[in-house]
Amino acid sequence: MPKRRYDTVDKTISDVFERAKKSSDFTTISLLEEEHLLQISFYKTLIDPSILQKSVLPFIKEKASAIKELTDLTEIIPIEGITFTKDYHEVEKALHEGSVVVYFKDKKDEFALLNISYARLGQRETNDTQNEFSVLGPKIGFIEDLSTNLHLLRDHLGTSDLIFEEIIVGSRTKTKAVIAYLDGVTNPTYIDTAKQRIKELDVDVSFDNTQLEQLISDNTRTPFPLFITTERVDRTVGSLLQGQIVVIGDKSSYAIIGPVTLMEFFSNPEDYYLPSIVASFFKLIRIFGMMFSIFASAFYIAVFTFHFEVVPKDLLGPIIYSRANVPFPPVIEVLFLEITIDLLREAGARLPTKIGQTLGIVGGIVIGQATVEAALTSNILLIIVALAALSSFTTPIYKMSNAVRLLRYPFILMAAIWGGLGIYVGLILLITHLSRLKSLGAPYLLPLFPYRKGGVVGSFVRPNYLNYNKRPRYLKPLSLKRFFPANDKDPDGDLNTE
Amino acid sequence: MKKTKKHLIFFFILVCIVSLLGCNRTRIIDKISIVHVFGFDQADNGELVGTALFPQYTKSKSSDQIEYLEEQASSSVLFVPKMAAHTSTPVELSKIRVLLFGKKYAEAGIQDMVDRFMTTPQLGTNIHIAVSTHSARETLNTFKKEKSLTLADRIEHNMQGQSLPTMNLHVFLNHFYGEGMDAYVPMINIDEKDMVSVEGMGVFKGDKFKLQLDSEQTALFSILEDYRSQATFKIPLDERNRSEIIIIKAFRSKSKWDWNPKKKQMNLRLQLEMTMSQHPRKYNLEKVQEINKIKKLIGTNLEKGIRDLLLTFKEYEVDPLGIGNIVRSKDRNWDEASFYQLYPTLPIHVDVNLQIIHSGLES
Repeated sequence: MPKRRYDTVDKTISDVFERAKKSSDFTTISLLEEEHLLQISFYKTLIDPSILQKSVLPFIKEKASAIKELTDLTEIIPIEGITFTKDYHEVEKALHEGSVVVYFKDKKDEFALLNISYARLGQRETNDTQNEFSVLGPKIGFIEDLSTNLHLLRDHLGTSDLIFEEIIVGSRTKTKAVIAYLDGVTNPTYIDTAKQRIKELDVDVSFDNTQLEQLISDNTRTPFPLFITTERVDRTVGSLLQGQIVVIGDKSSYAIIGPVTLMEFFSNPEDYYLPSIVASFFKLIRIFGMMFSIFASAFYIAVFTFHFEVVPKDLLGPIIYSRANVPFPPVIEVLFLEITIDLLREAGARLPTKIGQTLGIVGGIVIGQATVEAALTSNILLIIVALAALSSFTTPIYKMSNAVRLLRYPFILMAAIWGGLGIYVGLILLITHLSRLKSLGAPYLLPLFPYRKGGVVGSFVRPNYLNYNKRPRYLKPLSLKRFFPANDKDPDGDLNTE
Repeated sequence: MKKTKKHLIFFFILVCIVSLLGCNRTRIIDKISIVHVFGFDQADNGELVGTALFPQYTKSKSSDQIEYLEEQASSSVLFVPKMAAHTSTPVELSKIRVLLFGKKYAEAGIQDMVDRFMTTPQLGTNIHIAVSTHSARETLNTFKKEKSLTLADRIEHNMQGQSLPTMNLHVFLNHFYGEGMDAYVPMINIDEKDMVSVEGMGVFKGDKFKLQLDSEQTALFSILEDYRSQATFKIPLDERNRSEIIIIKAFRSKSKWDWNPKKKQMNLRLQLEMTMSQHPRKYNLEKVQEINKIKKLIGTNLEKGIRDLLLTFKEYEVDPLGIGNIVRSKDRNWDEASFYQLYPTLPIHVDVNLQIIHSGLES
């Protein structure tokens, strides 16, 4: 077996302290006792110095003579949760979590650990949703602190059925990840699958849940996200109630929801705050937007390169006139504009907010107008590409809208090669790919493929609250009904027999 | 092993893409000449004259820049290659909206030309086919002077909202090749003001143009043939007095043909719903008797007109209504040749049932 660095060193506790002393922020305070030299070690960047000054040091100094054993500390220091250990691995871990270690210099086999970590240090103050905006509804989002996030969930879902299970991710960072689910609702298969995948993960660091999502995803060679990553608390709570599992990671403001289906990416928590007819229309608009975004430019190429017959005769004049001076074939024209739009988007995402807005105006209006006037593209194409870019942003989940934006290019190439036939071939390949995808073992195209009764309509529109009390059967929840109304006709139909 | 197989498949796909790409002909929309109207005439030496109009959209957004091409060839297949010699971009027939025959050529027989339509898959079948009283060449030239390519629209709206019976290439081919019926087409005329107008219809016998109907006969024909004709009829009561006139407009019409095999007689029950646009002041339409009187007047007038029309058809031995086809559907032993020997003397009983749905208001 090859030698690995992180599990070979640190034979004794002295090694731990020796290595820690190389860092300038590792501090050791020595307090002289009558018989022993009491030492206090900590990383000063991780602890709350005011607690140390006010609640730890004065008490130890005052009653220094009374300390004979480490266990005496519980009586003199007014801090709850002092633990004692002999395991130096635990000491090292506690140091990194913001604990103060108290020990006798000549008796380095027992340690007292006082957790006085400054958890809120460096955390942002606001927890508004930044990227998943909605007009109606709560605007509370997750932040990069695990305990805050767990607090938000527990606060929103006050039931003892809500279970949190903690798992450590990352051999070096030892980041905490918490799997949350509703006991008695979520299918245990999904819980076990998620737990097993996270536990067996081989990775040194876990920066963010969006990274974790890819690491535990069923298929990593796909542009499609196989989990929903959201920062909205209401969406997360809704998913828990539906019988999905949620993974929350420390240092990440995104929660992972799984298993999900493709259609769920086009629903938005705001749908549930609007009347169902209005919300259903908006949801259909979003689905249309996704398709338009993928196919619009490809159709432009196919029609204008191969199948001019489908253009209505009244449109022939304006279209041909606008393209008359363009020296390129439609495919070059389209690629030029599409790449321009993606450059603008990428630049806009990287630039500071204020410059980003200016860039949008410069890019959208100035470049667009100039390219048309320079006869590099036709203005009809400019409309199509701009609309396609716009409609790709209607998808509420950022990862999905990225996938949609990427999918345009293969379709553009297919359309340039084979025209309408190429688009069909591409579509067949896309559907084949989608129908093979799985999220935590559940097919991605549910309930359309494999077809599952109940839920097909609900995945295209937002169901009315009149028939709201059933969970989607295709998620295979243990309990089918969300609640039991007084006039429930079938009170026994709760258990999922499938 | 598995890796080489994967490479082989990849290579195979690559070969397919490259070779299939070679077979592909791109037709970029601004790099083609899209023919709008195609006309056919017969030259004096028996050859065909093909004329085509196509708009130059690259020069102008509207279709006022029209190019005119004329070629003489012994076969219609040669038109496009010959025309292509004059154009800077390939000539495309797929967007043809009107096929126009000169009357002289149509009278000589258009069988070979219609056969070519069948073997030209680019042509849509929802396009118009028409015969012009002048030569197609003249008509197209006049049309070019008008600086608009609206011939198809002219025919179309006359079919939808006026008295022209509905017809397109699809129906034409059915009538042309079908047993027990003859084809009919709208007629295009150049009027005194040197304008192209749609006027009446023409009927073929076999592949030869045989009979031209004036606009009144066309209107009567359209209520027999179409469910929703909007033909306008004028019934003069007194030739000298301009106000003594009834003007009615067809709204809905249902014609029910009935073959009586014993008497060898055709019965036509025509159920008409019409609106009255104008009527003489002496009739008070608030009284039932007067309405009935006026209805009877219109009914007999229309009945007479239809009888005359059917007589004309029989006289010319043409059957655009497809009476032969109606008999065929009722009679197992129907035979085309023997039926059309009887056709000129075939008794047709016409019964008109008229309903006036409203009067006065223009619709």
